[in-house]
Amino acid sequence: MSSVKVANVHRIYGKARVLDDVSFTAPEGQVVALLGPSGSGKSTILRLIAGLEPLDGGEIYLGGELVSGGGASTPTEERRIGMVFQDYSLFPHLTAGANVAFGLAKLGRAERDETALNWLDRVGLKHRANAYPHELSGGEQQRVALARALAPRPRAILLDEPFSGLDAVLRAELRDATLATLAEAGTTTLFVTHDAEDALQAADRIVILRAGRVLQEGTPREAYDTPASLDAAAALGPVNVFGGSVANGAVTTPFGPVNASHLPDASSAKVAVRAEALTLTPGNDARVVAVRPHGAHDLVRIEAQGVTWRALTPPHASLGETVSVAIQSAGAFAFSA
Amino acid sequence: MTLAATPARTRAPRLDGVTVAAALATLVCATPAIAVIALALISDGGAEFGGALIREGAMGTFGLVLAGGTGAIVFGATTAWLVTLCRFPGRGIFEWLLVVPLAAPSYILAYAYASMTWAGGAAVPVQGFGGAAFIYAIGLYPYVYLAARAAFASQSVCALEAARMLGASPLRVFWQVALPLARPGIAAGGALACMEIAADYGAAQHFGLSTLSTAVFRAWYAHGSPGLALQISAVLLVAAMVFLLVERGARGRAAYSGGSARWRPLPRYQLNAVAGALAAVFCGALIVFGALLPLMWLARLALLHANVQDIVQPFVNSLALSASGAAITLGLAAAIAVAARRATTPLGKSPLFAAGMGYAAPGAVIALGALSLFGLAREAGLVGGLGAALSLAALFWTYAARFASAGVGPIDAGLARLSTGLDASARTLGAGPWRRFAEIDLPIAAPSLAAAALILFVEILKELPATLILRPFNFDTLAVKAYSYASDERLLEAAAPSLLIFLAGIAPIIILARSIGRGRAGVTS
Amino acid sequence: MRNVRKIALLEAPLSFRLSRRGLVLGASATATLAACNAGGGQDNFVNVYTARHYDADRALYAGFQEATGVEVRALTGSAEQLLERLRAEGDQTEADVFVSADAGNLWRVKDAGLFQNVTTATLQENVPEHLRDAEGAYWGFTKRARIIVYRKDAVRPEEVASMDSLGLPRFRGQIVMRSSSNTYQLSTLAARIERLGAENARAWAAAVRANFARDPQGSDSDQIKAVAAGEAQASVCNHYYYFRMMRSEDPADREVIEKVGFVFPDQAGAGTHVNISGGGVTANAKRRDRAVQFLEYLVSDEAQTMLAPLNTEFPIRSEIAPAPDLAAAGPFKEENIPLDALGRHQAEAARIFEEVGWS
Repeated sequence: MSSVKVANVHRIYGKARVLDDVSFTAPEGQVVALLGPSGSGKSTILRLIAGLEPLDGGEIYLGGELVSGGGASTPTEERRIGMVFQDYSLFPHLTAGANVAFGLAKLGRAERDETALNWLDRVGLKHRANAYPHELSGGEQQRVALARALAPRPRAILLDEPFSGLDAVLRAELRDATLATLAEAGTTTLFVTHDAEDALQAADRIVILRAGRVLQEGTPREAYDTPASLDAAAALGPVNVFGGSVANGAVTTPFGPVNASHLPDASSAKVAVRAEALTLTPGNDARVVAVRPHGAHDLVRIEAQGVTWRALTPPHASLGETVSVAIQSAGAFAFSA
Repeated sequence: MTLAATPARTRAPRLDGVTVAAALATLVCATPAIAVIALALISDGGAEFGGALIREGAMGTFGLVLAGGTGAIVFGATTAWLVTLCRFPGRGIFEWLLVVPLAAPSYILAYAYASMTWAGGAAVPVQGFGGAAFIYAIGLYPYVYLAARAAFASQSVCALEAARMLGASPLRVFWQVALPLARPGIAAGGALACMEIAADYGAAQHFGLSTLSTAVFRAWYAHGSPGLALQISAVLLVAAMVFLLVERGARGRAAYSGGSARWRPLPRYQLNAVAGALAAVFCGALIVFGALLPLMWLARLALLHANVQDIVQPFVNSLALSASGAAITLGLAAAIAVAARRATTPLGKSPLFAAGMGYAAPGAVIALGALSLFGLAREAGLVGGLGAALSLAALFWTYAARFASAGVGPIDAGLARLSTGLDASARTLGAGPWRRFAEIDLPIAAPSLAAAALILFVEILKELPATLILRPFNFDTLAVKAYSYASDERLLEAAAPSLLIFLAGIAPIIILARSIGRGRAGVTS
Repeated sequence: MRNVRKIALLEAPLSFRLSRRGLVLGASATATLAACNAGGGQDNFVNVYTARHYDADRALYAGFQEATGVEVRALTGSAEQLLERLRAEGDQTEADVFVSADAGNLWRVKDAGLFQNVTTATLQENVPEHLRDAEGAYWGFTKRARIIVYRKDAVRPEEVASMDSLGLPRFRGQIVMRSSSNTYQLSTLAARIERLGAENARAWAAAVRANFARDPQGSDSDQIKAVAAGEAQASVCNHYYYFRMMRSEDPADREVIEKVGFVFPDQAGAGTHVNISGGGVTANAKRRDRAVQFLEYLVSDEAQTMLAPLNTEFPIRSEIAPAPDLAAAGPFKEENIPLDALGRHQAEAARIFEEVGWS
């Protein structure tokens, strides 16, 4: 296993700049999430690392070895990179077992079969070794694809939206199982997702991407607690945004002040307040205009002075009542506008 | 962001074995047609009558393509709709029987009907323009039928169900939903039928019509000018290519997305007694006129003059030639299809087009192109005389040039079932180009390869002019035998080999049709 | 291209797989093919390109092999296509003899420089002068007459005694003809050009063209059938096909002949147009001696008497009796023009047909 280093990478399709000076590192053995919306270029990064596409600038290193860039390009098949595709891309004419064994061509037949079965066992599908892909459920296909990618002991494994095709319950279950497998294998892992929860729950590090640029790179904690920008803050969960000017080291919102002491007074600023950083207590500051259950919490829309915010709180508030609002400073950030 | 939405994925241009093989295969398949055009440009046709021949021929070809092509499309599309989306007596049998006329070359159908007409066996005389159009429509509709059936069968069940839930009658669903959705498939099949019509010489000549194809032979035979023949052929080739580009462009815009990915049993309309009987009679009539009647007539003639010992060796030769020719052409077609499928640039996809050129020209012209190239190679001292080996090589070369696209089509369709992700997957698992070709592309495309092989087998079995001009000494095939007798106006003797060509072609065609039918049921993909 | 797909069609998944047995079958078929072309290993043979497709010819080949021990290896095809093959092969050709059923096509081969002149006493003695090339490039071995056929219940034979009569207003809308792409048709007109000049030929072709009941189509036999069926009253064909229908195993053919009579035209004038089946030795023949031997055999007593009953052509030698039914039709006066005229005027004939709209 190896670290993956992406340095100043550019990728251009015609006139569209898909990746613009992207840099980050996936340390050896860690799980890194590439988080971003559609079109942010995150899948392209995986394809570049795998060598399925050429770079238009920059370098990619696997364990310190230059594999792309500077005129060099190691062919995909020699990179020893495992990849789980979004549609899993299982070979439809091969059984689950044969799919897993495909990457083990260097081994002898008996050893190959044994290794493949072993990997199927690790993802809990030993009993499905003789099933063809179309006979497997979506979740089972994903697990076979994972086993197939891991079996050749790749230097790193890339997962493209690994959980996106699955329903909510299966998704969490599979995510945990996948993580367990990956942790056990100890392989450096990069996975692409548009789901903040996936990234926060599963990754050791998060790279937040938007429109081909890296907004922030860091641990989930760092990213969540100290967003580098408004967009970076918004990438990890619902935020309420309010624009105003800094007065006495703070921006005053209809729901209370937000610390902006790092910004000069009288400058204009934008604040981002995480929905879960709002605490509602009985009072008269704001009115509840909508309540929707959101898992264990309620997503509550509160309105004051013509401004509507969203708050994620334990289910106490009810429609039409007035509340008092407290902003927890850990989830409220001010940026210069 | 999904992979599908990713724009043009360029791959580092590396020359691997598959690419080289494909380039060579393309060269092999395209050169005779290119040679025809090149020779046409440099040869002196003595074109005194060239303009008139081309004008008259073009009008004739246009008329026949219009009439015969329309007939084939109407017959093919309606029968495909009936067997795919309706329920009526005999539907299951008609589903594959409707393909059978594909086994009969137009020239044999023309010959059977003409002799029937003369013997007073046909209620309506089959002759002239109408006769030819009838022969083409009845003999070529299976091309449209197969394409349209695949298109109807793969249609989103949801769209059809939605239309029905909105209260549309079966007829309205057909006109307003199913037909427009199937249009690309119907157009592809129709284009194929039209090219066959344009390239046909035997039937047009039999019915005394002036077409570009007959003009080619008029220039060659009557005016003794192979040069002018090449020039007229070049006109035909270029017209066909323009036609294909236009059809392709039109189809490109109409490439609707496939709808739901999973197969479900198609909801079939239960036709009422009268409509069901009409449907059965309609399908039955096509089979009777396209296959049964001519077959029985040929059988009757063959029984009048049974020269069995004369056709045993030609029969064996035909099978051997068709099998080996199909195998060789299949290999070339597979290389072309795989390379084109991997390519993302127009240049990379051009082999598909290049390989298609030979299909639009009469076989004799492609053979003439191959022969001229051979002559040039001989003058340059590159090859010796057309001994048995070289003669066969030239023959296989011509088969490849003429029919590669007939093989590329089904293989390409089979490869379309490969997601691009599979190739990428295999690469990330360390598989090089040959291993990916052998272990991924080839097995997945195997059923399509088998289909292509069957089609090529039947095409070569039916092929006459190239076989006639390029075969070795003392080597007769069924088609050559039928031609020899027919050209000597020994229609009775021609009946037995004709019948055998028909019968030998029916088996593969039926295997093909049945396997398509079986493959559909309940398979998820 | 994606469009040119026979079975684009096959998007529906197929369920069968390539069987190993199928592959084995293919391989064995290829082996068979290879065996067929090995040529038997012996090289005592002569190679013949022939545009004659008659079963009778195989009896000739067998007879030749019996008489000389030389095997005849034939490649049948249309004369025009065989000529192109011969041309492309040039000095590397395997063909020793080129045989065609029409003098016009033989002339084309000579014109292309692909025949060599051969003169032997046997050939000169046996082949009448007007049925061979003056320089010996090609030699006839059978002949056929261009006859007029007419419907017995509509036409009296004396009404169609000459080719000219077919252009008379009497036959307006009553004549069917074969396409002028056919070499016999070209040769008939070429002969007329030789005898009477291009203007006369054009006038005649135009007059006949004006009498057409339909556009030219079908074979010689088809013209006879059209006359029998009442589509027209008269037509022109080779006597060969008329007599063959007379002998046909198919009762329908014999019924046709019962309704149709024939005349050898122009017996009071220049005589009936005749054409030959003939052959010559190719310019680059590798087995010249055997080729000459074969040509000589074709006009030998044995071959000539063998052919006579086997098909319905006239022997090239007038002293050999034709088949009894041909003999019964009686001797007739033959048009006597140099044989190469059929070739020399061929292009002109084609042009005239084109101009008068006789396609």
